[in-house]
Amino acid sequence: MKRSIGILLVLIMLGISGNAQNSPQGDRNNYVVSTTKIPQLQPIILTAEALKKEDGAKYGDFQIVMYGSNVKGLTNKEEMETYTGKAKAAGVSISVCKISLERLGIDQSELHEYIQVVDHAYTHLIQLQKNKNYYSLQL
Amino acid sequence: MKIYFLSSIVLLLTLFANPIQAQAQHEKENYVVLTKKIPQLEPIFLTAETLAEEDGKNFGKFEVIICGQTVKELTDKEMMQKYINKAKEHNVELVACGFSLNKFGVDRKDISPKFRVVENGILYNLQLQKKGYTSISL
Repeated sequence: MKRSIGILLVLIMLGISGNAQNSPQGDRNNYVVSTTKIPQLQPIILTAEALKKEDGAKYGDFQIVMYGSNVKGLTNKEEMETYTGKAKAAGVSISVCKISLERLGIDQSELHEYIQVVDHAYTHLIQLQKNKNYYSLQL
Repeated sequence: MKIYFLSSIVLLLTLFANPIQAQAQHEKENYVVLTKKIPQLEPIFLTAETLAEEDGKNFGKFEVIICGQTVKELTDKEMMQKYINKAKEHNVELVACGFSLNKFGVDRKDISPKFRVVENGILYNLQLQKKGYTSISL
């Protein structure tokens, strides 16, 4: 009798942990917004703040992907500072397309330290939608 | 006997109630398009027309959010009236982004009341996607 209760407990726990493993990725709301203009960072970060509040515990990842000729501005550390503090607080990562950097001859070390680099903006966007169910918007 | 009867009713109810609920949620197809150029409304209406035909009874809402500098053109009442008529014809709802109106100094009194103004067009789009809307941005 004791034994069967033990087995039952183990089974129940397995069931619970199995479910718990599924939920963090599957149930959360993840977002990616791409833009070519730096001033757009402001409304996008406000959007992230609002969604963070709205989603509560379900709020997952929020990424901004930048590409195009305006990414030069990402090297302006002073200007970027006005965005990165708020981005960090709202759990927003900012990344830039490597191809755009190469085209403009910008070295990755020139970027503000908060900025990450992705190999190819479009591929990154499609992959997030395909593999991770991100809600996506291109500005 | 009574208990058997009652429990079988409950069982039947649970069996049938669930699929019906699930269907109700998937019944309507809703769409949202975000655009930064007013002339894009033309092909967007064509899209809505095709989808309405394709979806038949399942065609739900079709909303267009207008964002960016192009919101200045919303004050051109004559040009906008053509779009407003067509939007009505195709059951398309027109939405303007409040952030854009503020940024480009467009007074809300100068645009047609047929436009619904939302505070933040980007946020509004993502909120609709969360509700299951199919989205594209132009």
